[in-house]
Amino acid sequence: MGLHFTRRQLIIGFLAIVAVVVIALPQFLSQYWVMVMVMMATASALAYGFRFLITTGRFTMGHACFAGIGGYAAALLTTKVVENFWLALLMGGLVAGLVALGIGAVILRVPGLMFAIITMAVSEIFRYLVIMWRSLSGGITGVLNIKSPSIAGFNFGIDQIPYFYLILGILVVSVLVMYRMERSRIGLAFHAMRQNDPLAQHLGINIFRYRLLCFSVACFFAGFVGAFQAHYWHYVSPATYTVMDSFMVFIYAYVGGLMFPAGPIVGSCLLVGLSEGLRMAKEIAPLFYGGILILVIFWLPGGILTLPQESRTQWRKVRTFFARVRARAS
Amino acid sequence: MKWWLSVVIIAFFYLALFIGVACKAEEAEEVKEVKFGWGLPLSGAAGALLGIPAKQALELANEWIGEFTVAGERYRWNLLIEDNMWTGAGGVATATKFIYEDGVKFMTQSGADAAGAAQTIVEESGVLMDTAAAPMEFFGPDEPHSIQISPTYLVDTPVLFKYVTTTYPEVKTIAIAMADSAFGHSVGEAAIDAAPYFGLDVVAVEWIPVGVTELYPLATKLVNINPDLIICDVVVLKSMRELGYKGRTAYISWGESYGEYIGYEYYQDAMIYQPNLYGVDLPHEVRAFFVELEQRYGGEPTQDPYFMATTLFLLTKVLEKAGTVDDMDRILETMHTETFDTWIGPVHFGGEELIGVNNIMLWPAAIHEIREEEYTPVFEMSADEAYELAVEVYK
Amino acid sequence: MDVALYFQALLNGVLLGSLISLVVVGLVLVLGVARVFNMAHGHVLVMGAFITWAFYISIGINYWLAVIIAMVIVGMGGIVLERFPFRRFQGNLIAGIVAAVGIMMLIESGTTQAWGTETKIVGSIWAGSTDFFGVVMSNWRWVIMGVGLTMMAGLAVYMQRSKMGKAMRASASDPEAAALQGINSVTVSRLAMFIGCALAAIGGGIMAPIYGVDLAMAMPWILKGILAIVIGGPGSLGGCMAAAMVLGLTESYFTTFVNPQAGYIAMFGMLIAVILVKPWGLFGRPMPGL
Repeated sequence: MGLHFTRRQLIIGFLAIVAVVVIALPQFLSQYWVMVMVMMATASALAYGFRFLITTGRFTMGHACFAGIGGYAAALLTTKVVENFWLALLMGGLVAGLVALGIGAVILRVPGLMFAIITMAVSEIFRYLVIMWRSLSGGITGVLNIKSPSIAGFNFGIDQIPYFYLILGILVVSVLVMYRMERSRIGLAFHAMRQNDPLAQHLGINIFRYRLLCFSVACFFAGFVGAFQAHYWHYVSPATYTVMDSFMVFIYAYVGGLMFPAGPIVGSCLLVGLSEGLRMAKEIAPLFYGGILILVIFWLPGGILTLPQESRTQWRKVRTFFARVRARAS
Repeated sequence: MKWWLSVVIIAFFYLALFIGVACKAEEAEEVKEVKFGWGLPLSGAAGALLGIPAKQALELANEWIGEFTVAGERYRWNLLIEDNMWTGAGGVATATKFIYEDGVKFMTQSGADAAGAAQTIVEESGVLMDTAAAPMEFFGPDEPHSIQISPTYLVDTPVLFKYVTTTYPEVKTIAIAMADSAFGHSVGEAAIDAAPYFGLDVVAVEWIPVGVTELYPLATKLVNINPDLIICDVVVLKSMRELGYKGRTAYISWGESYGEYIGYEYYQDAMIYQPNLYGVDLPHEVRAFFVELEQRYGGEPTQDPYFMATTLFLLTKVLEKAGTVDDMDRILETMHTETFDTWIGPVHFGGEELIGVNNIMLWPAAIHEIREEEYTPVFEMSADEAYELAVEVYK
Repeated sequence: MDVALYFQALLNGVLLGSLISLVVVGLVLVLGVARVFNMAHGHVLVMGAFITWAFYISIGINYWLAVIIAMVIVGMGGIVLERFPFRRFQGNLIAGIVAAVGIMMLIESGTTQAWGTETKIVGSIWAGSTDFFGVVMSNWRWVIMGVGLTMMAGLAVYMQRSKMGKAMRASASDPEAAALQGINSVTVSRLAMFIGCALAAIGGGIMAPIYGVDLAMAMPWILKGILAIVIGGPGSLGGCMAAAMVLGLTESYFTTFVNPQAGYIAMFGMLIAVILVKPWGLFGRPMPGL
């Protein structure tokens, strides 16, 4: 055979096909399914940020909270100051990133489990602060009547499709930036930290600073997502960004596979699609969901994307078994 | 277990999913139906007390209506009832589903948080949204599609205060202890704004954070302040009574389970200031409906089923008079100008003086007191009288 | 100033504290001995409440018997949990938390399927209240405090004196040394899970008459438990019990003398203060393998 593609070419080709499908698909689907795609993209963006932090060996249980911070910042800007979506988006990211910088400076000094628990506490603190500061944040009702974005004179209105392209754009930008960072020298430091804290320190890597950078960047992009959501749902409220939502982000990333960059995206699409599809059987949906979770953590603890590896390993076992049987028979 | 089993299981899930979607597609056949989306709380405390009885009442009401005629064509209501969990997120999720997936033109969202969150989507898509327990800021000329058919606190609270100040002139101080939610704030702020007109002093306003279940610390504070009248629900009041509070109390809704929960000795002379399904002055048709409801489902008749059923009956009348099921402008115009014959008597919409547009339905107002375990009527005002009083009070 | 008011707030605080204790103790025990952070602990508590309700209301058994049955069933459930998700993921925090979330979902859907979504009401078991010198407490709340404090004391004694208790403590502070001494880590983990879940179940069952039974209770309680464990420190049972009491008293005093919101601000303020000064908690020691 004459055709022989390099692995890199195969991956790029695959991605190109995926890109074409993803961009074209909304034109053929009903509004409802485009809404589902928006949810998938949103979840992917958040999950990717979560996974980004994992590369340094820390996991956060408050990622949804930072999306919330971004969402509130954007919402308040749009309703009280000026109706400019790009500005709101930027504000969302900046505020979330800066808050992450400030909080991270304090809490990134503690080891893994305590850090995770503390992010949960931060999430709750944020929720209560929002509820209590009624005059600024609208209390438990939240900020309502956030107008649809209008970009370059095009008002988004209620059609789902433009929102999808918008979040797709945000997703692509977030992934590109974080992926490039991971592949760069900074990313090497992240991986070193994840594998062995003391060793990395002795090699001269300032693990605290790098972690702080990673955390701030991940939360910055979470803020983007929050700003988008504020304009998509036309409201923000403390009930949207709870610890449970952070758990979901965690799960999406985990189920996809934490070691793969594509993992969070695959996991999000899979699980969001599943939960939407299962809305027909609303009562037993959590049963299916919980069941899948348990299945994955038992048999594919690396996530769904380890399936090819696992299958290969298992296949090899099967072949060896048969080979032995044949050897014994002869 | 082998690794491939997990692949099989995942494949099985997706198969189930496809079958589910296929089945759903089959069900969606329409025969001259008008779809009506209902976002009700079907889980939690609100679900048990309000949402699930409301759902049952709606189904029975739909049976009572059967087919109705609009402009010579026969129609049936297709009720789509979903759980909005009484939260903003639930409101948005259900509203989005109703509008995008089901294509409804009429929707009700129970719960101020849910309704508030759904409002932008509703207004932008031109769907009519009825709410319950919403604060008055939700309504106005900029939100033409948001209406409230259920009774409003704005109109009922002044009636309460009028009764209290004329019958119990020794009451000078009042306190409010409601949940820190949009619903709680609707009730509370209506009272706070009405108090000055009647010369009542608001000495304490407590918003109870969501999730607080142990109320002794708060009750301790309130008992210490000792207001003459407190507006709160039976859960708060129980703690207060146990800690020695002897003052009067008022609340918007009543059910026999409330009395059993708190103990009637703690709830004597409590005032209830919105319509409920009890009392000798209940219209005959209403009583018959709820007797049938109780026989079928055995549930307790509370406010939500009453208001939701009335909403369905009323909207049927509105469509009949308007002569159309999808011309929203004509429907709204009919609503604003006509009087409708319902089981609580002839009613019409009002509100222009208070909120700028005639989007709230005016109910006859009555105050009841719990005497010897009975829901006893003690005071009443006609719908128009109550409304005029409200206009005077809030202007 | 009104002395009775101060004492009332004190009593209220002890009540809140004993409730939080019941939750945090299980959490600390499981974390220390079985080396897993049981995020589903709030749901375990609610399971205890559900089972108590089911046996007491649906089947009609004596209430106290129902609570004991709930305690046993949930405790056994804890042992199953230890065997299946938790032992496999000992030390692997991430997988442990995903497993816990899976368990939470299973519990949620299971209880919803079995018993529906509405809040369940367990009637009053012992109504009425006692009043001395202006300080009032409802009888049932006395029961809660009594049960809570007795359980705390009992557990403390057990951990200090009994053979298994000492084994658990040894395993918690140094698993390898303990294993070398012949302490079976599996047995000890199982016992810790049983006790931890049983205590949470008792908490849920005891709370049911006043607060009803509702899945919505699960998250707030685990979050309170987390506050207590972060402030007290993950390695220290006594420290977390003390932290629970302090949290309860704080919430009570601030709510009564200021307002409920201030109570929450104060609790979180304490959390932040402790983290800034002692990231491992007031009484905690850095735990190996975390």
